[in-house]
Amino acid sequence: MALFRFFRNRPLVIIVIVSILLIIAAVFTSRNDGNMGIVEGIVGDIISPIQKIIYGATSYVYNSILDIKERRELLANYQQLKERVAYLEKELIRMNELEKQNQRLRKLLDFATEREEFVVTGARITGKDPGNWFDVFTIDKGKNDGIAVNMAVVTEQGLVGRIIEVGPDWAKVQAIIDGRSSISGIIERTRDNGVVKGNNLFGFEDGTCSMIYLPLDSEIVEGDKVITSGLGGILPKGIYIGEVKEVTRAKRDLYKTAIIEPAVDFRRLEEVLIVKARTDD
Amino acid sequence: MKGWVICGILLGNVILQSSLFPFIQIYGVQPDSLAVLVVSFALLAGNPTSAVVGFFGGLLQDILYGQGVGIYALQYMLAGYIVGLVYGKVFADKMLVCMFFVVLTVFFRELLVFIQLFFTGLDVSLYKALLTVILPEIAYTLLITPLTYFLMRRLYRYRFMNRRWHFGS
Repeated sequence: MALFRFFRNRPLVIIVIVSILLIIAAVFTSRNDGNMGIVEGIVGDIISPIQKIIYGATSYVYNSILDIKERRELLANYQQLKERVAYLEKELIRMNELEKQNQRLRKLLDFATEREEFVVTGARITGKDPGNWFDVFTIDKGKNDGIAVNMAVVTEQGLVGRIIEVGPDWAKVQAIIDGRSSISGIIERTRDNGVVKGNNLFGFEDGTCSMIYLPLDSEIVEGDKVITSGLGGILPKGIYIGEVKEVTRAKRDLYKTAIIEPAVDFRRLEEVLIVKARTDD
Repeated sequence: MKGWVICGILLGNVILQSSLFPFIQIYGVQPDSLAVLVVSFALLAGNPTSAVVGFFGGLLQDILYGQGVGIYALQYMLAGYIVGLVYGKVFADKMLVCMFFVVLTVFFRELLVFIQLFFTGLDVSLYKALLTVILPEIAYTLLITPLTYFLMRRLYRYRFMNRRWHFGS
């Protein structure tokens, strides 16, 4: 009776039959003797194209996902490397900067040790007039460091200018190329005296000085060196100013004029030394 | 129409399983998405749909990764048939009902695998299998169950999905 009822339940019968068939199939196909049976071969023939298509689709999706993942990693790496490059570039610039500063300071130091008795202090330039030339600029030392008006400002290359205003911790320097600047100079070879005036005025900024009031019989030529004369007691004597570039004489003038190329590179000034005229004051 | 949709779902499942799941597997454990599908069909359509889905879904897996054709087909077909028996007797709208049967199905299926391994002479401890494979797989499968079941329920709002199939007709 129970058997009869079992056979009346058609779904269950089908399930049981299919299950038995599947078990048999599993047993047959999972035997791994290396040889494909006939059934297995036929099944394989039917299956393998399907398998191929599904495998193709699968590996396409798989590879796409892998690509996305790899791209992400690459991107992350790229970002990291970019940051690193930026950092290293910055570092390199800083290093170069330090190296240059080191060289400049070393030269200044050599200069300072040679003239120890004159040097008041070293200073750093903190501000300047807009424009390429340093006509008037400020430095980061002042009264507190012993700086006073009219002290000379120099670099290891030569004379920069003089102090014109002093604050507690800052000072203003007028460069020798400033049109308002005039200092007394002397031609080193011929010992001719004259006044060195700046040529930078109202847009005529060529960065040179003119030495005026040179005697007519002066034998100065191009290339002669000009130093401070020390007259008037403002600036110390013998500080190198620059080189004579050209000697001219206006027709009715009773003196010669020399165009002087200053030794100091006013476009690239960063550190200076403050020098006083005499050691005793 | 219904047959093609199911075919598409099964193919999509196989492709997902072998392409996406390797990326989301945790300690070598992947969710059993076919089990979720079979349970969904069983709760939403009952037999014979769920048994047929189980059979063909399993067969596909057999062909693609099985060592012998029939093992997965048997497991999923039986699961589909047994869960399908409760069709109409439980509240299919409840997510928890689906999750409950998913747990049962995965457990039952893994138990069959274990028995099969046992008979092929492999020495596997049930305790270890339970801890390292079966329970993690159940947990992971439960994670993907809500979305799958939600989508399947949406699918069964279409009329063509509700046409009945009959055993032997």
